[in-house]
Amino acid sequence: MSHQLEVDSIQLQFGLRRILSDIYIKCETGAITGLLGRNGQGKTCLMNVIYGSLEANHKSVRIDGLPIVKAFKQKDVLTYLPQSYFIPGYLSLNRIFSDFQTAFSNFEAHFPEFKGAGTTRIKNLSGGQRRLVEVYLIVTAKSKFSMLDEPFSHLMPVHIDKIKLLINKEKAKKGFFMTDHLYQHLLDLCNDTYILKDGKTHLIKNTDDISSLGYAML
Amino acid sequence: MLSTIRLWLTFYQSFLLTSLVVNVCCFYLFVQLDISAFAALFWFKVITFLLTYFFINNYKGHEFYYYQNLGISKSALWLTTIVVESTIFAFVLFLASLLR
Repeated sequence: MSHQLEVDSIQLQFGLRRILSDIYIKCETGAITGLLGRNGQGKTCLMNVIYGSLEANHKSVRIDGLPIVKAFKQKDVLTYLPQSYFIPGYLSLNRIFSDFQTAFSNFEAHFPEFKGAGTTRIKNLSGGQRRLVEVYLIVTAKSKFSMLDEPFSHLMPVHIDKIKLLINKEKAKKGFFMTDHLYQHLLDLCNDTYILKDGKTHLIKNTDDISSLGYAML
Repeated sequence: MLSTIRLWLTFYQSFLLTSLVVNVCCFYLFVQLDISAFAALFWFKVITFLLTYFFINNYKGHEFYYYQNLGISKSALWLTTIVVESTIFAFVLFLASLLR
């Protein structure tokens, strides 16, 4: 079944500083929507507003046309990969995969270096391995949409390629909304990409927009 | 329901030791002192709980995404904790009053 996530009319202000003011994002099942933007432009704030964990002065987030205020309160609607580690360090991989109702054996099949590591506590993995587990869980989580904040940071190139394949496979079941400064990977994956600048989203029509909007020198 | 309880227990585990120490202190003091100590113990419990609350929210705040991704909100975790902690506190004082 196909679903649509639409976000607009977001007003977010910290004191006198306006962070978000003119936003429009659309994401659908089967599609990957990307978000680029310079540091401090509000990409993470936007994701938190969509997720409902950050209060905005005004917002309209709709799934299939129905407004949703706190997406995280509804199971299986929207999962979110934050920038920082979010899994309690004392949990074992078996326990974490069981919580997410995901088979650890599938993860082992994708990443054979984790074979037999089910009883390992996640805090005992390296930073890159820990991030890989978190990215995998959110990408494969049972939800209508997944938001990924910097999924490729800390991952080694071979794992980035595997995650990209996995995202392309999983998009048949859900929609993805993601941001990452490794923008070439994002551009490879995304059907639509927006640039967030001065609180406004700009839909990229061609790669020249990336330099003209001041995000990267191409 | 069972998975929700298991997740709450995981959350509670992050400050279980603090809670245990506070409850043991309350138990010991209530056995040693008379009923007039109740108000002091009550505020001791409230203040230590608030300190735990601020510590967890500030230093382990990112872990709330784990529970939220699994459908449990931050407020649900804390509300359940308040109910359980209040029940344990009342039970500890009841046990201590039997021993006085």
